[in-house]
Amino acid sequence: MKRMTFEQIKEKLQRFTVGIAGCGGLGSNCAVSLARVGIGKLIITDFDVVEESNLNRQYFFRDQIGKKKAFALKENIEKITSHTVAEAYDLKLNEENLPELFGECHIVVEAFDLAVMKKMIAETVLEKMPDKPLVMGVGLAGYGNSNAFGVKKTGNLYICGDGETETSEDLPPLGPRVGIVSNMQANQVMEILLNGY
Amino acid sequence: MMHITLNNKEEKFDCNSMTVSRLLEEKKFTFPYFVVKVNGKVVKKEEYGSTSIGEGDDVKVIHMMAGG
Repeated sequence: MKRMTFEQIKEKLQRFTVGIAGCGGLGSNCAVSLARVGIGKLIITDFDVVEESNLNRQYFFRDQIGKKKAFALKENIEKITSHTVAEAYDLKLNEENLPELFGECHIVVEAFDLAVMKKMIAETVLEKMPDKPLVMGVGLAGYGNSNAFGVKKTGNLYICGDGETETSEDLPPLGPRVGIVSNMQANQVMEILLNGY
Repeated sequence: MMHITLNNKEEKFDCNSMTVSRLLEEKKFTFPYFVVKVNGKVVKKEEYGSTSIGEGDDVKVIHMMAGG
């Protein structure tokens, strides 16, 4: 870790763009954290709307229920800071639109809930944008066992989480563990940008 | 005899090469979704049967788990 003042950190992060693939538990919290530390631009995408059941972990509010997640998250980021540009897209990502949408990003953050989508983005970025770092969140269900979390790096792929727990009816995704992993992702993004560029 | 690195661990097999499909079977990778990399290059599902792994290869099988 380089020692830098917050002013130096903000000044450097201001130059970068990060893509956030999904605005649920991982994406909404990761995006807000990156906005707080002064990232220049976030490209945020989601096709879903805010539901009451999301409020146990996602960075939304009761009066946003029914709103499109991408636009609601943009609203929340703009309430926190004027230094981060949030470009919001209400769409479902796929192999075709992903490279187009995130082409200008320095880093892409994977923030989906479905395993099939996590696989899709990993394969698409590895195959079509091999130089772009992809920061994923894998393994975050339930509660407790904070010591299980870590970051695994293989090439340009960074995997944050416990790598073990999969969400299910009796192993739900909840604020504390989802918050930890989403902020590990934000922390990893900072590390790559501040040390590597 | 073939030696490979699988998820950062040395593994030995009684053959000179095997397909990705065979490796996944032998190692009983049971999650429905995973990403496979051989020597840093992604191998997609439709290529599992035609991609062979040989001596010294570096193989990563990364499980994708629901949750976010």
